[in-house]
Amino acid sequence: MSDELVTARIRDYIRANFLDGDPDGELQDTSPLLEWGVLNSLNTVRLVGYIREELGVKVPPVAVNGANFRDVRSIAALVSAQQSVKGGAP
Amino acid sequence: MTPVSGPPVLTADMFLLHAPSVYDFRERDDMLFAYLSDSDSVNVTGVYEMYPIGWFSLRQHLAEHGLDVKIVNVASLMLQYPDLDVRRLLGYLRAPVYGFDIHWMAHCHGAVELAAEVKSVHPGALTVFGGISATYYAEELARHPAADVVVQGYDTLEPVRALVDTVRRGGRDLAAIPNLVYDAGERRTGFTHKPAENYNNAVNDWSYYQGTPADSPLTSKLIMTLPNTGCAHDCGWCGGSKFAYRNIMGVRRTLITKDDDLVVRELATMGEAAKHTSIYALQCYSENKRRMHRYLDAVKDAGYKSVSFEQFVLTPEDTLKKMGESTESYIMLSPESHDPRISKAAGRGTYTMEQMEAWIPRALDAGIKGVMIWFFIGMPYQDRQSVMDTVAYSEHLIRKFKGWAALPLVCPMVPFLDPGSRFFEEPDRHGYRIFHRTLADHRRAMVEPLWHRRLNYETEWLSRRDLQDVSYDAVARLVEVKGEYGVLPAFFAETILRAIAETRALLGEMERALELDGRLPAELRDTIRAYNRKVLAYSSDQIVPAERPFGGRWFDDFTVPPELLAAVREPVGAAPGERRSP
Repeated sequence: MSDELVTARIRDYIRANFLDGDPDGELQDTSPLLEWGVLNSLNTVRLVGYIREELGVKVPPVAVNGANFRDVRSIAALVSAQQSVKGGAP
Repeated sequence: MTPVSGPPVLTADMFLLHAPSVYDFRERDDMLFAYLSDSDSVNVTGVYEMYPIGWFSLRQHLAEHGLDVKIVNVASLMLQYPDLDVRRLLGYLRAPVYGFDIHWMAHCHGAVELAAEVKSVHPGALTVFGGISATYYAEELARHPAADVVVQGYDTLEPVRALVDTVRRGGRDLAAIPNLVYDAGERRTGFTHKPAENYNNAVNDWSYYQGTPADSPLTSKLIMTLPNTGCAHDCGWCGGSKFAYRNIMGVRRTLITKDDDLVVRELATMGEAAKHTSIYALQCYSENKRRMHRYLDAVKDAGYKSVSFEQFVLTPEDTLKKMGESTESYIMLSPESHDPRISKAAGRGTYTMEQMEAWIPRALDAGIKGVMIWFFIGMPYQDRQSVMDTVAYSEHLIRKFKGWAALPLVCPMVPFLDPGSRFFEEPDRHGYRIFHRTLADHRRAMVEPLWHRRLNYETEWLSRRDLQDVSYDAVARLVEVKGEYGVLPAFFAETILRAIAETRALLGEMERALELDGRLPAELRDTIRAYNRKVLAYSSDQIVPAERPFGGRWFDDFTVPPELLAAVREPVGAAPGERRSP
């Protein structure tokens, strides 16, 4: 899965599940999810579940940190990096 | 013990030290900090690293009288830094008085042991205990060599202020300070200081918590508010009930409220950070409508992200509407059982499950984001079948409300039935049998290898062993159901089920070894140590059943600076006995 597609799917999931669809299109890929309170503990568990079950990427608990979950872009980068590890890609 | 070099010592007029439940819990291989043995209802470990929120009031009240109180969460520091040399840390904490809590008895072992360490490191200092459980066991606690003074009552702001003021001036004559038990229990100053109208009017100042970075979204900011002390309710199992307060504290009026204005000021102390802070609104089930609505206005004005409200009745519609308009609101109901007879015996039973199911859609329509429904194991009349029927009823709720909108949870009453509660004091009348009566009994129980033997009670309907077994059966089945209906991501459900299976197997092995050999073999001890390290590496709870790293919670330590921490941690590779001492 390309980085662009991963980013789009994470963005869409957050919009649909945590922002009531984000009708005003406020969510950007660099929007601070922690500071906005979009990602609380409950939502993070649901997002990690989505990444595992729909994107096929297991996020280890130690990687669920403020840096990796800062915004859509950083989450997508984490997912892509984990995909590479899984697939053995450089 | 004087540090000769290194970081400067921390000084205060009083240190409040929150101990782990068991001291020293690290590397223990003779008892299991088993999954679910801390009930898994709150985001802490079996070390119970959350200190009483009343400590904020003490700190604030003494600050208003020019006294410096510092809170050090030793339990949390020991979890975060397993190589922490606690004695060395204590050497850097200098005050004439050190205070301790035993917080619903969970700390009856650790707090007393830590106080003994303090007396060893600072022989001239005074160790002081307070709180509801300390009041109940005041004389026995005061007879322990580690406890110099016990302050009785739940209005201890002024007695503690007078005590610290006297001792810091070098005084040791405590006879004029009310509510004290000291000199090995030989001297008492009379339990005369009772809650006045405005006894707990201290603002909890959350400003220290504003700027702390969120290291993980799993530990996003959560504070607690406590608008009153005491209780308007009378649950038979609770040591904070009307029955318990009247007997332990010798008062008639059991509910004392904080001034509205002060609660509002307290909410304002988070400043801009309120926007990404959630509140757990403790004891708002004792609040009347006027005060509740004022609180909601203040929450809205301050801009808090969300609030979870504990409710003992089905919230009326005008309050629901106001909750929905004020913030993201969650309601925590606790019928304790689906069975009305058991629910009523547990002190609830103010609504039927049919009424609750009719109320939930109205709550959601009013803007409530979710309702959590807690069931309890260990109540009168509750047998194994009844517990599993509660789980079956939970499945019905999940199917009907699609999970998170109305989320059922179940937990056992552990580790203790509160001393002072009606069921503890009148066990025969309510179908209970009490195993541990004294403070010493409870201290021994806290280090029992198996958690069902830690319990201080069983009922006519469930033995201690039954309580353990049915707790695992119930939580496992509920987790399975949540996995099946997609409430929990499948791998979270699988992880919990694996943890339960591993825990039960290990408990079984330990029980067999203890029964057959009377001891735990070395190989099994290695397994226990490895298990404990794993379980105590993260916090978790059933609401968000993920491994959550320590740090960033309001009760984690914010007092000990990094340079001091660095100085009191074991050098890597240090052999036992090579610990540095100040």
